[in-house]
Amino acid sequence: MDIDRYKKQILVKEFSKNGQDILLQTHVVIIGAGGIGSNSSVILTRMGVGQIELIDDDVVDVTNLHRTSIFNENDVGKPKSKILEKKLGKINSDIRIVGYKKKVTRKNIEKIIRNADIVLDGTDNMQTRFLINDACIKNNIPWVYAGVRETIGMTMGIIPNKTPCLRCISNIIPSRSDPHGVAVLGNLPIVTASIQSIEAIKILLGKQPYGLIIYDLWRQHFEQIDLKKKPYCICCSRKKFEFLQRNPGDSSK
Amino acid sequence: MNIKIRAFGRYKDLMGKSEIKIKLKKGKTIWDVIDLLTEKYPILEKEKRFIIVSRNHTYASLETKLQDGDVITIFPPIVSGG
Repeated sequence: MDIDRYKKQILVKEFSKNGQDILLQTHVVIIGAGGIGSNSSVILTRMGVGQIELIDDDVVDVTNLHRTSIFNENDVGKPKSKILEKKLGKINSDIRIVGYKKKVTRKNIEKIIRNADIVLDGTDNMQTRFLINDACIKNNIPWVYAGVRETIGMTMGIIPNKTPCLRCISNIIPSRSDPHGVAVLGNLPIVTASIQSIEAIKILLGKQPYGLIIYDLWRQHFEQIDLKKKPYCICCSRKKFEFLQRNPGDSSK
Repeated sequence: MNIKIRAFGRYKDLMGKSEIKIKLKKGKTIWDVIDLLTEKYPILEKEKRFIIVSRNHTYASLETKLQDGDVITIFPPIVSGG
């Protein structure tokens, strides 16, 4: 392994050789490989995460191309997870990258995340995010929410038993929206993936994530909201995992 | 009570300024602020249940009771695209 390829980031004092050593030993699971998930996988591959597993059941669509940095026109119609496995392996052959073309459901998610040190959200709907939240809180695995819409991006690092969870700030179960109908500015997922990745790396290095980070890229407005655990939160306090038991409003089997 | 309301992103465009000051009777909650804003800007009606609010830069639920001098910031609902 050529450690020299990481020389410039090892010089960053917040990260250092210790950060690189930790990253190289880390196993990340990325659920969803659209705008956010694909860009986060590129970043983490280049930064030297030791093992990356990508889960996505979809194929590359022409409407994905404006907001990803790795898919191209020749990839349209091919499975996102398999394309990423192949292309990321060429970026960094020292690490292990595996893509799985499968849908994440309440029945398979705990198996999917079982060996993960951290889970990254690359999904496009709130039902799956609440499912990730349930599975990660139950299995004591940190995860990083990230979402985009129009010009707005949001990220939130979640450490079970330490920080608030996604249900602490959102208890409303939304209806499934059509991801093809969601407006997204092309470079927004790239910025969001960068912020999501750095929050994930900080958690892996034992640092505290920065609450809920909200930004409007068009208006260059960035804010960070401190969070408190919601008393009696159905998920992280009462340990009732509704989305693992029965996906409300969804027919996931 | 004197309450300062800050707006994020497109809400700033909606209000025409980044912050406004209002006076409220004691015992009012963040819900009352949202209702006031919805009366003034009816476009908020559809998403008012989902708006993210911070009170003095810390996340707050809509039922939170306000105190004199509070700074309330309103953010768009949680975003779900990927």
